[in-house]
Amino acid sequence: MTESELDLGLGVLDHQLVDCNGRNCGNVDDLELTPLGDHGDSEVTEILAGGNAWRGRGWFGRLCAALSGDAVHVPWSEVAEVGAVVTLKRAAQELRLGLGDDRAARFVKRFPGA
Amino acid sequence: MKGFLQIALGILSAIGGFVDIGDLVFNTQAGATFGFQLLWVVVIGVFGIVVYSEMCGRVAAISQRPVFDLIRERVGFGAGFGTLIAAEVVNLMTCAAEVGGVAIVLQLLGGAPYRVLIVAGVVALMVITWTLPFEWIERLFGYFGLCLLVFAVAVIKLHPHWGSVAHGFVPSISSTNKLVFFYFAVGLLGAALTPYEVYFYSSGAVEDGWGVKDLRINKITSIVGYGLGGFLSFSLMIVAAVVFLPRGIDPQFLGTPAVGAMDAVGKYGLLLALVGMLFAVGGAAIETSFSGAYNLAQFFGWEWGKRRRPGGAPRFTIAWVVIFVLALGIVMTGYDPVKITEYSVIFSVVALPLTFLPILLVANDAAYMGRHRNGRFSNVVGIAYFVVILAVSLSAIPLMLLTHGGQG
Amino acid sequence: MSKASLAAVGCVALVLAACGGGGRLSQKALQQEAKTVQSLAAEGGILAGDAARGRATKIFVREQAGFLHKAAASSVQKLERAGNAGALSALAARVRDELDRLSRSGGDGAQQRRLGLELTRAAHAAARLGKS
Repeated sequence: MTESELDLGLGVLDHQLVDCNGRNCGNVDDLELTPLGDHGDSEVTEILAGGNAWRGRGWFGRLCAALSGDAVHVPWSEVAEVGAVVTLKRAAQELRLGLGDDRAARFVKRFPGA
Repeated sequence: MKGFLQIALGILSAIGGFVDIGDLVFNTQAGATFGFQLLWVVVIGVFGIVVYSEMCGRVAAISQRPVFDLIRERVGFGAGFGTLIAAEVVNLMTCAAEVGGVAIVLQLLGGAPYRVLIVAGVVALMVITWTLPFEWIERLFGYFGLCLLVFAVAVIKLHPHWGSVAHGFVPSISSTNKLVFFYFAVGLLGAALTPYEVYFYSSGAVEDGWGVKDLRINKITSIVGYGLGGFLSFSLMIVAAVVFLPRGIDPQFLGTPAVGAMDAVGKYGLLLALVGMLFAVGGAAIETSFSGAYNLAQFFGWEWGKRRRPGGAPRFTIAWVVIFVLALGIVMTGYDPVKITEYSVIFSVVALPLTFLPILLVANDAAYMGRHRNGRFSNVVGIAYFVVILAVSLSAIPLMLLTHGGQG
Repeated sequence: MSKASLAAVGCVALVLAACGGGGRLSQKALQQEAKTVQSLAAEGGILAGDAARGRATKIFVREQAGFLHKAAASSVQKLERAGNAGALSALAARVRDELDRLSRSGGDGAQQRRLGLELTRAAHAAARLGKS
């Protein structure tokens, strides 16, 4: 693998998604690949996070997917950097990520000291 | 000077935070059944937790990611989800045992009805966890847990036969009742190598903002902190061997270790033992609830951490609250917390390979660790321990069934 | 009586015999109960002795003796149901009662001293019964 190549399995899949403000906003639960030409190459077009993105991840994945809603599709063009985490160019809310935390925050913030 | 103080405080916190209800129960029962013969097993357990926590701390400091965050990446979604379920079940059982333990110790100190104290104890722990910063929680429970050093004083006052104590550190297997001996060996290793401990330690390292500059603190805290924490385990076992074994006392109650301290040191020994037990077990209750919340949040990619206010990591906050509430429910059924402890330690032993294999893999991964990946010593010891952990995890449940939970 | 009725009576008799016979404790089970009684009595002996010397708090003595008493009561119930425990059953009942008195002894040092001696003696007796 050269410096410009990326191991999708080990280097991207299941990595933490972090938005431009440093907020955790899900994991890379699946990747959408689009074929390029006739030579068998593909390119990553989207990151799928949460929801039924897990349906392709074995028996446990299908169980999780069945209990969840739709996955969030994040265009690969929104990725700023891939390292220990996958950093995004924009804020989580703009990409409809981390909505579970937003909903939970409305409940938790009712309590003093939250 | 500031660095020295930071290290010293970290060590104190690790010593005081090392012992939980599993250590109290298994070390006392082992001493009351086999005398000093199982001391060498505690050494192996302590050495193992030192090696693996150092790895976890190093992984957290270099990658800025805690261990459970990396489990899914390394072993895949299915195995990662299996690890999560196993970890959550064990965390919940352990938290229930610790919560029950807090209520029993409060009852021994203050005398109020047990069920009232379960609720009061859980509410107090939740309020402390909600309001205090992470560092304060670590320090509070770690420092007051140091009251358990009264057991070391008790050892000295009891004048054990030091030759026999020294002999207990030489690996040997009891000639009588081998199955029960192995059961206690497994239990002692399980009590020392608790998964929640490493998850909490690595998440705590990220919470404390550890980086490359903290690798030295990590090493010293793991080695000295947990090493001296193991010293408390030896003390519990030796006191039980001297006070309980000759009299045929089988320690089935959480107050029994305190009887040993009382017999050796008197009223102050009793009070220090009870206060030390309260904070050690209470601290462990918080650690297990946090460990469960960290695991869920890190597996699903939620915001997490005590360094954020509760509203800043809401699903993480709800998770640890729910774990406390479920633990409360389990203990309110009236099931003996000491029995719950025995089951939780044995089941955590079964889950050990799922915990420690990813740590070993990630600590060796140059992509995450760069030049700070495992050296030859860490790898040799880490792999040797993994083989031991695998053997122990396969034998844990059969031994528990064959020996009727150590009763023979 | 018809064959079917005889068979039914026979089955009921077998079930009743099994239930009745299951109450008796085996030699190993009796030895285990003897160890339990010894353990409870011995721990009670230490607790009482230290309480008499002012080395324990009243609350601790009350609560810990309470736990020991409850376990002893459970042992007594098991032994009495078995019906073949003989001297061990009587000893366990004595230990149960002494632990109950200990839990209610408050600050009475003289009573605690006496109970300490009685419980230690009972522990030795239980050890002898366990070996026989």
